Amino acid sequence: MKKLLFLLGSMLVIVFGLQQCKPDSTEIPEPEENYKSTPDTIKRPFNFPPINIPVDNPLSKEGVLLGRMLFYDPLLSIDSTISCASCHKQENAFADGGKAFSTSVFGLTKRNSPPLFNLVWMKDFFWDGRAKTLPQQVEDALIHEQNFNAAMAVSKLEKDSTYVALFKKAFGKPGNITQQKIEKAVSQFMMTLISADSKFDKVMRGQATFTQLEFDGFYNLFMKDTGNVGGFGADCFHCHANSSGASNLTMMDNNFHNNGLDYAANFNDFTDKGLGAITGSFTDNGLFRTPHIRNIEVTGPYMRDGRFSTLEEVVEFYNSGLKLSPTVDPQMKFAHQGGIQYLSAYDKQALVAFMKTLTDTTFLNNPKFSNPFEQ
Amino acid sequence: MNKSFFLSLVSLLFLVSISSCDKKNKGNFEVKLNGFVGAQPLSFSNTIYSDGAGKDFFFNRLKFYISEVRLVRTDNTEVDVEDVAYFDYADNNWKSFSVEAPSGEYKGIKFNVGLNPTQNATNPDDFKASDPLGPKDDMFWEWLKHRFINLEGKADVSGGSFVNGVGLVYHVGRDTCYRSVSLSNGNFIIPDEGKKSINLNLDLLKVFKEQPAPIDMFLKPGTQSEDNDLSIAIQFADQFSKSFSYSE
Repeated sequence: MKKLLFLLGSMLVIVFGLQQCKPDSTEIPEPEENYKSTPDTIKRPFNFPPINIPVDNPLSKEGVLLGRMLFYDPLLSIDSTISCASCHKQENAFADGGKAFSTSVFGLTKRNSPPLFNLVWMKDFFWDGRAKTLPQQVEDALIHEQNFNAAMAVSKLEKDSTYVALFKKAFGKPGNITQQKIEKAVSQFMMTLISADSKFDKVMRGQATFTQLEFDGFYNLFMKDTGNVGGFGADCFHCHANSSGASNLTMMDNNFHNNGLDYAANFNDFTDKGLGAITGSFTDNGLFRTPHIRNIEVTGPYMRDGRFSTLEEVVEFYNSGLKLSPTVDPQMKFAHQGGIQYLSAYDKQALVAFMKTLTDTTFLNNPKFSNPFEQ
Repeated sequence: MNKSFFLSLVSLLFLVSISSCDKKNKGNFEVKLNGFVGAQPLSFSNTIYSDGAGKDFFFNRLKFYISEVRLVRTDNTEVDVEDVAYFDYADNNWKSFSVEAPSGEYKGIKFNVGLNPTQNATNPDDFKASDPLGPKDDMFWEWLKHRFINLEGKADVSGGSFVNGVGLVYHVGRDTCYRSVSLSNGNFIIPDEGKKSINLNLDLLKVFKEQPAPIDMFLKPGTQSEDNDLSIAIQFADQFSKSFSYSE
């Protein structure tokens, strides 16, 4: 009897011991019922408009971190070769630096990748405005630029215990991974991409001063109208500054224009219809979203097809290279003569010098926005 | 004790009666903007208009402010109903507004196009975007203050391809362009605790054809309300303010 008890006892101890030897479960516990992620905030820069974070996607530290990882992780593409960062590089203010046309193994991208920053003040996304919210923009880019397959991406992420844990931390209950959560997380990271610390900003804050060349470029050319007869400013501000408030420094008009890039003989003669292809209205053909002018020094090549390599070429285009078409923006008052024509060599230098004051090296080097897998 | 209880009860009943009085004799008054070009509805989509006198044109932007909106009673007294309203014809959120107004019969509507000098001196950054005076794209420049009217489009000769067309850019602002409008078109009633909607009709063809100062799109295709083109802004403000009507 004693022996039997001893044997039974030993077996119990062994079974218990084996139980302890089992490897750690890969199951990550569901978040507690009342789990809340850690709220995150974005600081409103000097003379920028209020920031409205979408109520259905509040920022959390965990959400932003997850979004940053997803942004840089090629796992999201169908063959795990392309991430958002393949075409949106921090050193180029998250534009592609001219490389988007060659990085995609699925073919060339149709248009120059726009830079990504100050997105919380934008109302439309993509050159043609086909997305109205950041999650929509993320979804579109994933599908069309990364050949994204939602089910496959979710499945790949579910097999990665790090991501399983990160999704639970970012979104709480229920702790599953969905396409919607991927889009929300990437959007959260992108909302934190704020660029507002260039020399231009410092001048506006009274912490730096323009050189004479930069001063003339901004106040006497960029911000001055051409007038109806021409002869003074370069009239850049109508599209590249914001006219909604006394001192809105976003430097974008949140609007669509045909800037006279290509000749078109009639409303349907545009090779790239832009906004018109989205709205279905022929009077919108050839219109594109005004691109960011902040960080323009590093976001080349310029225009939607990257046709200009330098800022000097861009300035010369507006001075003498405009083409006529039925929807050329009414603000391009001198398109009929190919541009304003009267910019002197000094004027052109001044405009370029001013534009270079919009480079925000703090943003370009901010470790919070860099590739988390390379740290 | 009984006396104070009685007094409290009377006070309570008095307050209740006051608050219920507040709700009486009032209704909801809604103003909906309807754009026209002559008899045609104004559309920014796939639509070319003709003035019947050699010009074709299209529009792609119409934004403007009205202020000091008043209703005219049948005894000619006026009721203030709204300080300021903003219209953006491309944005359904800003194509109408509604206010609480005393119920009763009215014979007309008065308002001013643009902002009065006090409103014009405000800074959009001090208001929420949801406020008519808050930040609105393309409607404010620090040196000229609010744009009262922003109309953009393009014109060409009839049958033209618009390749050689003329850009239309009417950015009208500054206190000197503030204009009053007085409209009547039969009496209407705002029902007690009910709702009355009217259509505020704006005919852009009248802006360019109304006598005695029609605006030739080719000769005066735009204004920024700067000193050198302010005369066009003034003429445009005059014409614009004469191009409204209302209908039920």
